Amino acid sequence: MTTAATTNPNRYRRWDGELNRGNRAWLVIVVTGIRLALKERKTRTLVMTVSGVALGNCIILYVLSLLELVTGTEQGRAILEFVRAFLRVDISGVTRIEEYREILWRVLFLLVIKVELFWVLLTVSKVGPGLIAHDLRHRALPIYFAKPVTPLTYVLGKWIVVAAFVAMVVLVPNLFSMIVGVLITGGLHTWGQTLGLGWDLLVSGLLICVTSGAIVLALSSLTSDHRYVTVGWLAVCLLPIFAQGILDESLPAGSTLGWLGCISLRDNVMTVTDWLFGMRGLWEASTLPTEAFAESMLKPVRPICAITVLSGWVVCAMLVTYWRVVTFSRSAANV
Amino acid sequence: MTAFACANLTKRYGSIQALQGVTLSVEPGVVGLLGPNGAGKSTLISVLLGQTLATSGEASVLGLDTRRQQRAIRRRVGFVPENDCLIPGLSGTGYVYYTGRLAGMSHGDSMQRTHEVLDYVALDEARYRPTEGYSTGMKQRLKLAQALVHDPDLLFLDEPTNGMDPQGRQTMLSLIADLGGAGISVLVSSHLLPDVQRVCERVVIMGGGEVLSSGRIDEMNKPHATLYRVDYSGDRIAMKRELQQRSVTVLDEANGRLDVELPQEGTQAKVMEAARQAGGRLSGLHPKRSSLEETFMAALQRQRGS
Repeated sequence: MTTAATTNPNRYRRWDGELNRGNRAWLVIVVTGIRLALKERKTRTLVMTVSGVALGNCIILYVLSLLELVTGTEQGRAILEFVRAFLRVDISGVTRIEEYREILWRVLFLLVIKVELFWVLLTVSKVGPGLIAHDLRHRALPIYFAKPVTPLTYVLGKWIVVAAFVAMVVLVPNLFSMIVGVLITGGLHTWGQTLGLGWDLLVSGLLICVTSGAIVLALSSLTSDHRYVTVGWLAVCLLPIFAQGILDESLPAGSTLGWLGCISLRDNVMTVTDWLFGMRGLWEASTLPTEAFAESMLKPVRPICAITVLSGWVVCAMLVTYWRVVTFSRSAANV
Repeated sequence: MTAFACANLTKRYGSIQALQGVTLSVEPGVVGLLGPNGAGKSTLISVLLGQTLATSGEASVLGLDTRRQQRAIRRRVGFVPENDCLIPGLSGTGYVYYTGRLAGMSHGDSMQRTHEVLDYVALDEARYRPTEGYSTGMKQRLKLAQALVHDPDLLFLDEPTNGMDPQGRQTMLSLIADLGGAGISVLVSSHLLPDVQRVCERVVIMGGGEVLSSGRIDEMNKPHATLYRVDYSGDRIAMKRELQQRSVTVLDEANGRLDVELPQEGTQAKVMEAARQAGGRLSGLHPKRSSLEETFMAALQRQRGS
């Protein structure tokens, strides 16, 4: 679509182009939101530093692949035998490392996700609070709702901005390091063995994106001051962990409260991720001796409880956000 | 086709009646929307934009139903809100481009059109600066640019000259007049009567959620039937006495002029007779015209009286 150039800047010239009929305003909001957030140096730094975690993950996967390679040769086995005799420790598991590849990878990625949750906390507290709060503060909502943008489109666009950043610090590094791991380990067998892990990483990453995005947007829609949103977000994430610790300490030795694992977002996310990764089943199916270690990986909360709690958070948060935005959109000329 | 029309439109917020029985039919052109605070101007604009649903009644904009065709309406209208409404972090160019994309323009069209409208509103090099540093006048022109980027057929301007210096005001009013000339209908909501009088052909006066008066400004300013301005030189006291004897009331007196009210229409001869009897010279007898301000105040007083 071409437009006649303005020959006289002081006279208004009509435009003969056509507006797009499809509703892609959400995509425009996403792209602009990401661009604006990346203008902040701190945000860029956060996103860049998480690549260090991915790099570390790749290095560990490389070491594991080397071990697999070494234990697959006569020379390698001889070296391991020498190490066993020299250190006088049982390293028989290392000689069968290829058998434990899937479980090792799953444990590794589970630990990496735990580390990445800290980045999620920081990145969301940097990117999310201003998304709606800034529009409220600068009274920018009439600009959106005087254009063919619906409240749903607006909320969707803003939510995807947060989700995109969470994906940058969780999903992308994990999927990237998994692909690198498959490539360096080599073979179609590796690909088939780890395909399920890829899906699990994707689902757990999306779970974190949905939950964190919904909660921070709801908080952002409640006030025009992004600082309150940041405090609120940190409180929602950290206070239950502190409360959990205090309550846990106050219980008599040996006793436990099952619901304690349900009060923090982090624990609920990790419970669902454990369940997705099928850690209990894998461990039981393996010949690994340390059953206790497998138990320690699992929270004493049933996955259905964690899923219910997280769903409740997301549904409530989305309802609050939508209600607030609809309210503002209906009084946009007066905002 | 009308620019917009309402039939018995009402809007209630809880116990507050924001609009009551608004019936209007506004032809294309530049129209002023006048009224004190709380008159229902912003609510009317909100209903016309399809942002607020009316409690009862019908409204249409450019022939489109405000209840069922909200998105289609917003494709064809532009809105300049009263407040700043800027998005921090964006430059002037980025802001207008963004709103163009939100309206449904392609990347190329939006970028090209952004520069056209920024040229039009005379935001030169400043367009590349963040909007946070703009002056009030620049912000108002930027908001006009975002409303124009998708080339609407109808513009809603909410207090477009608010807070601007005299030069900036003149520029904005020239732009509005030019837009009217380019075939864009404009609804200017303002409390600055001289601004409305300067650029608008018609005016709608609102108060208490009702339309108090509407029509062409030149018709509202038609000559008064019984109010006259008399240019008289001679014995002023004698003249006033003669006028009183003929039941002509002297309302005001200044600089050799008398403002008088005739007892009834078509009795101008009484003034000429009084001048002849007083022995002075009558050099002018002009019917007075109501100013927009007088019409506005009279409409508000009628509403308060009722």
